[in-house]
Amino acid sequence: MQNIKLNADIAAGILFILFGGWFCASSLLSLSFGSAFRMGPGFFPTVVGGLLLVFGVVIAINGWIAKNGTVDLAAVPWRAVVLFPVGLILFGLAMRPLGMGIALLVLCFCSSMAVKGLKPGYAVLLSLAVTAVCVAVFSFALGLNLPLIGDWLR
Amino acid sequence: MDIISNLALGFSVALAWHNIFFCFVGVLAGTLVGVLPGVGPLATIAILLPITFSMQPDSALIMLAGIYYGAQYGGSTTAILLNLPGEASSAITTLDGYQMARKGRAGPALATAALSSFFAGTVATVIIALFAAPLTQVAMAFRPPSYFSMMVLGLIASVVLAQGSILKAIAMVLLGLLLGIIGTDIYTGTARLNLGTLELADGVDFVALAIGLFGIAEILRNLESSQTREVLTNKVKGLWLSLTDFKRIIMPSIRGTAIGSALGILPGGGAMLASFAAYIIEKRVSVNRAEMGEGAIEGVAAPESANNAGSQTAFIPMLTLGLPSNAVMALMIGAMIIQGIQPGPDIILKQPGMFWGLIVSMWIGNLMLVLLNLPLIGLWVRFLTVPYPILVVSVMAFSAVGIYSASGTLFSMYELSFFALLGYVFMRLGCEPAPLTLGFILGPMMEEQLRRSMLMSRGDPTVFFTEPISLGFLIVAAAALVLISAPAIARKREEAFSEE
Repeated sequence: MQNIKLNADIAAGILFILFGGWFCASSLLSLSFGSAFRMGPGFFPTVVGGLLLVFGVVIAINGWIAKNGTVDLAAVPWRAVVLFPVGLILFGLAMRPLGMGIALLVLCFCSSMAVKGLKPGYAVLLSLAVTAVCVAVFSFALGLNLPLIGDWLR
Repeated sequence: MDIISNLALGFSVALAWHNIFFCFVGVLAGTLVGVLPGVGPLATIAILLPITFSMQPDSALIMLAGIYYGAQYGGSTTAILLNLPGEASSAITTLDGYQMARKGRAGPALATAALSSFFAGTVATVIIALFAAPLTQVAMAFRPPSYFSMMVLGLIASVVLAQGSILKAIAMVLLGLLLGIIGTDIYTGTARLNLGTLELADGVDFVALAIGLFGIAEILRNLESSQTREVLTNKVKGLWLSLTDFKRIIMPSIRGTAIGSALGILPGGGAMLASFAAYIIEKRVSVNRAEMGEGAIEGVAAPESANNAGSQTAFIPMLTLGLPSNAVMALMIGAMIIQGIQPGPDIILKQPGMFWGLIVSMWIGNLMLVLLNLPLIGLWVRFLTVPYPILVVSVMAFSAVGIYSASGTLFSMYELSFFALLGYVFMRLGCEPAPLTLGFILGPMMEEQLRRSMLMSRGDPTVFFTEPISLGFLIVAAAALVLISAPAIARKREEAFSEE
């Protein structure tokens, strides 16, 4: 991958503008603002969202002028960035129909594949071991009421 | 004497067998994560939060607190033996601690770290016991405007004392406030800002937010570089201090404890700042200052006592005012709220057993740490050889099961993924996630106090300036902001943080 460099301050500023703008706009549009005496549910989020938007603009302008602090996108661990959420969501999906054992195996395998240079065989062994420990700790030691085997397999 | 009966109550709670057990589990887990670089006390507390749901509130807090101060001990062990600070707060200990170890004095260095930490922990426990009750009395007299202004001051102070850009830190606080009020408006019952989902009606899942921001985001950052850790297996022998050594650590420990206790109370202070300040001051005033940096025992005693004292007095604003002074305290407050305890000055009246039990347990935990750490140092160091993939997979599995057991929904996995990625992006962009957590915890409380103040004053915002206590808080907050923006001080601040 090419070395793409990003100005950290501008990126952070834009992120804050988006968040602030969303909170501000959606509370203005759908929530009653009220008055200073009797504040409605929209008062606080509108004001704080507006403030965040202003800070975002200032941070972005600062970054444009100062140009310090760049982010190297090549350093981002892309495999983990994709595989961690995928593993977590598969875990959530598998929990009810397939049960905790299989859900954990899937999650563990996804997260071990996120580490660069790990052999698949080792990843499988590691997943089995961590799953066993988790089941032992959560189901037996702590006695949490999570289904070990899911609805579809019963 | 009031304080004696209070401490007696504390001992009766802390010495209950199950609380001794959870205190032990806490300090053990804390020491372990303190030794392991890459997994900090914040991530550990976040990951273990769901497990505490089924526990008694006092046991839950005793265990979580144990993780926090236990990590300070563990961090110093690796700092001394391997020149590798397990925690940021023991980074400065590497300077003299590792030099001592290289000269074959690893044993005395470890003993110094343990003893000065224990001394600081004991003093800090007494300080908490002495100051907590009077401070609570003061806080009870606060009216809504004063409360609101106090929270403003707390947030500003934590921003000023935190590392990195102040603008970004304030923006993170604001974002935290906004995320905190997602859900249902308590006054009108209106659903708000919930993206049309039912799952967000109770607000953003605090556990998912904490684990995402501190647990998984941290792992993503560590995965950027493939680490290879070399482990030196020094033989540690002769843990005992000579009489000269002992005399040399008395004054530095006392100074370190004083500095640490003072800085710990300040919002945003806590253990890391305390250890740096104590070392810098020791370098100025110590009789043996010429040796500092080349293996002076004072250079271990001062920062180690300071970081332990600081990590403990940080509990004072959390317990008495409901004001978290750092991200760990925000997690503790989150744990209390989940247990159904509303943080604030009336905790001491409503939950005296939990309050005093927690304080006394800190002293007992410190005692355990001394007894646990010195004989087991060889074992702890061996934990460094744990390959990183095992850690990654275990953290992911524990986080997922923990959150799922608490919420039971697929939606919490979306939340966890979202905050993990958001936390990583913010870290890369130089925005610390800690202020966001403080804002998240304080968001609903601030909105409520603001609305109450406005009802009280019939919509007149000048009430914040006419209430004397409130005005005082706001003046201090404004002064802190002005001071830190002054160019000369801003430069000094950058220097102080870049020394790490």
